[in-house]
Amino acid sequence: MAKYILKRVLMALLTIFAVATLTFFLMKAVPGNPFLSEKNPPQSVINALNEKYGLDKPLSTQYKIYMGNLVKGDLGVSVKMQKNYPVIRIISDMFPTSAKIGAIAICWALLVGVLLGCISAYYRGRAADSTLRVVCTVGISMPSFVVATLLLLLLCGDGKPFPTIFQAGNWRSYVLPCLALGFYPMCYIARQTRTSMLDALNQEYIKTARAKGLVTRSIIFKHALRNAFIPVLTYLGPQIAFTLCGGFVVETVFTIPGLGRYFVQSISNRDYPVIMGTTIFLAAFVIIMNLVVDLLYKVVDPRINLGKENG
Amino acid sequence: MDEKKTPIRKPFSLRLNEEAFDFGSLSADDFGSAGKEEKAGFIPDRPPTSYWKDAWRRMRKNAVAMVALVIVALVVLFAFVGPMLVPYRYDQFINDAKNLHPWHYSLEDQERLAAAKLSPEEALEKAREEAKAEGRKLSLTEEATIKARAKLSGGADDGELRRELGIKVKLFGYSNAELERIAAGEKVFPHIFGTDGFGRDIMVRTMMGARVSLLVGVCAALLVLVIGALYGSISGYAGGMVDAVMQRIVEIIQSVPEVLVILLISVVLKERFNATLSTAGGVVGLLFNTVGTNVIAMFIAFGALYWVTMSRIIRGQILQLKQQEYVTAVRALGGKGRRIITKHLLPNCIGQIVTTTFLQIPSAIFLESFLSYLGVGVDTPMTSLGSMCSDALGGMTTYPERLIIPAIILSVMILCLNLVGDGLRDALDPKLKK
Repeated sequence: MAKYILKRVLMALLTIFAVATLTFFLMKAVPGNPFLSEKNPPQSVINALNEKYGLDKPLSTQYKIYMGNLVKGDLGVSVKMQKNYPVIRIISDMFPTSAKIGAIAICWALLVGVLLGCISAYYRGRAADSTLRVVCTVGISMPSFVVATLLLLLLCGDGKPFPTIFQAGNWRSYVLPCLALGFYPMCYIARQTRTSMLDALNQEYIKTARAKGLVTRSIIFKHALRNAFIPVLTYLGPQIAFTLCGGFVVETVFTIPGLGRYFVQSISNRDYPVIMGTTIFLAAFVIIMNLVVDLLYKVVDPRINLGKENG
Repeated sequence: MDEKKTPIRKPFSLRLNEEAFDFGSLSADDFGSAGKEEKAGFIPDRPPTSYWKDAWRRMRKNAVAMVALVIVALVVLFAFVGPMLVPYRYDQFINDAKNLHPWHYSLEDQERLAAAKLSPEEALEKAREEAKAEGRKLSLTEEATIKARAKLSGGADDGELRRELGIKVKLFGYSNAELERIAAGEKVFPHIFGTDGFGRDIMVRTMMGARVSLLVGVCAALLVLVIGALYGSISGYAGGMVDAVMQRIVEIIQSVPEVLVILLISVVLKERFNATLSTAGGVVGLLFNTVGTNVIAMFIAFGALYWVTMSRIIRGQILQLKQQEYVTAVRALGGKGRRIITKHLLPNCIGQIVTTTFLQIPSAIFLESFLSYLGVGVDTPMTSLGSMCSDALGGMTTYPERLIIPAIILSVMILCLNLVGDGLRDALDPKLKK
C-alpha cells in the first residue's frame, strides 16, 4: 500500500513538474517579453525584470530561477489586469468562489447521476430507462456554454426566478451556475452508473439476494450499488477536471467573479503571467484531485491488487 | 474461341465426391487454368461478404445509428453545399440589412402599424381620460413619462397593436430596403436565419461555422489517428523496456488536464505564429494565412495531447494480436517489425481504429467550440459555431435566435456523431457488444 501511494505521489509530482516545464518553454515562446505590458518600457524596468527572472542569463539558469520561484509559490505578477498584483494573491482571492460552485456542482451531479443511473438500470428497457438515456446522451453532447446560456436566457432576468447579476450573498445566484456546471458530469455519471449497475446485477450474489426474497429496491441500493459505484468513482477524477474547465464558461456567462472568469479575461487581455500561473495552479489542483480519487478508489475496493498494475 | 470447345469439367470437389479419386488418371489438361464456365461452377450461391459489408449490414439494423447518420449527412450537405446555394458570403456586410430577425412584417403591415400608433399628445389625452374615469388626476411626472414613452413606441406595445390589427409575422428576414426591391420586381434571397449587427447573413455564417467545426474535427481525428497508431503500435510491438518507458510518458500526459494545457498552448502558439510565421513568405506563410494561425495552433495543441487514448487502445490490441500464429509465421519468413505492424497488426485492429478515430471527431468539435467560445478558436472573419455563440451573448435577450441556432446545430452535430460512432463500434466490433 505504502509503495503504491508513494509511486502515485511521485507520478503526480512528475506530472506537475512536466506541466511547469512546458509552461516555462511556452513563456519563452511568447513573442517579446511576456512580463511587460508596454512595448517600450523604460530601461530601469527592463533591468529590474531581467534581474528578477534572470532573463539575461542562460536558459538553464532561467529555468532554475523559475522553478525555484514556483516552489516558493511565486507565480509572478499580473502585468495588465491588476498591475503588479501577485498572481498567487489573485488565485487565493478568486479561487474560493470557483471552488464553492464547482464542489456543489460535482456533489449534485454525483448524487443525482448515481440515482438516475440506478433508476435507469432498475427500469431497464422501459420508458423511464429510455427517457433517461436520451436525456443523458443529449446532455453529454451539449457544450456547457450552451447549457449555461440557455438557462440564463430562460430563467434569468426581471420577472424570472433568478437574478442576472451575480450576488455573492444570494443563494439564488448559485442555483443556475451549479446546475449548468453539473449537468454534463451528471449525465456522464448516470450513464456510467447504469452500465456498471447492469454489470453488477448479473453477478451471482445478486441471485442469492433475490433468492433470499429481498425486494429489488434493496438489492439495487444496498447490494449492487456498492460494487457498481466503484467504476463510477474512477470517472470522477476526469469529471473534476472537466467541471473546472466548464467553470471558465459558466462563470463568464453568469458573470461570477471567480478564477475561471478571471482566467478567460486574462486570455483576452494577453496577461501572460496570469495565464501561466493560473494554468499551473489549476493543473496541479486537478492532478492532486485525480491522485486523491485514485487512492480513494483503492481504499474503497479492497479487491484491487495494489502491488501490480496492469496497463 | 478455343475455350468454348473444351468440355465442361465438373468442379474438382464434386468429382471427388462422385468417383474415386485416381491420381493415375490425371491428365496434363487437369492442371490447366480454369475456363469461364468452370469458374462459374465455383461461384457460391451468395456473393461473399467482406468485413465492411458485414459491418454495414449490422449497422443498417441499428435504427438510431442510421437516423444519426442521415442527420450527419444533412449537416455535411448544409455545411459544404449550402454556402454555394446562398448568394451571400459569410463575411459580406449587407449594409441595408443589419440586425434582422428571421422573420419580417410586410411593408403594408408596417404602414398600418405606424398609422395606428398614437402621437404623444393623443396618448396623453387617452391616459388623462382613463385617469378621470378612475377618479384621479395624473401627476406631472406621470404625464411626462407617458409622453416620452409614446414618443418611443407610439403609446402602446407594438405586439399588442399588431394583435389588434391582425398583423401576422412572415417567415424569413427581409429588411425594408429589400422588401421595397421585391415590390419593384427584383428577386431578393431571404435571410432565413436573419442577419447580425454587421448585416452578415446568419445562415451562411452558420454553414461556414459548421464547415469549420467539421473540418477541424476530422483533421484533428486524423492527426490523433496517425500519432496514436504510430506510438501505440510501436510501444505494443516492441514491448519490454521500450514499452515501459513509452507507457510512463503516456501516463504523464494522461494525467495532465488536457483542456487547460491545450488552451495554454493555443494561446501562446497563436501569438508566436502571428508574430513570425504569418509574415513569412513561401508555402509556410501561405498555409498560415489561409488556414489561420489559431486553427494551426489548435491542431498542434490537440495533436500533442489527444493521441493518448488512441495509442492505449491500439497498444492493447497489438499486445493481444502479436501472440497470434500468423505473426510468428511472418517473422519466420523474415518479415521485419515495420512490415508486421503495418501489413498485419494494424489491419487486424481496423475496427477499433476506425471507431476510436470516428469518436474523436465529436470530441474535437466539442473542444474546438469551447476554445472558440473563449476566443482562442478560429480567427475573424472566419467563424465557427462556438464563436458564433459567444458573439451572440451580447444581444442575447433581443436576438436569442443568434445563440439558439448555432447552439442547436452544434449540439445536434455532436450528438449524432456520437451516436454514429457508437453504432460503428457495435457494427465493427460485435464481440464488444453486450
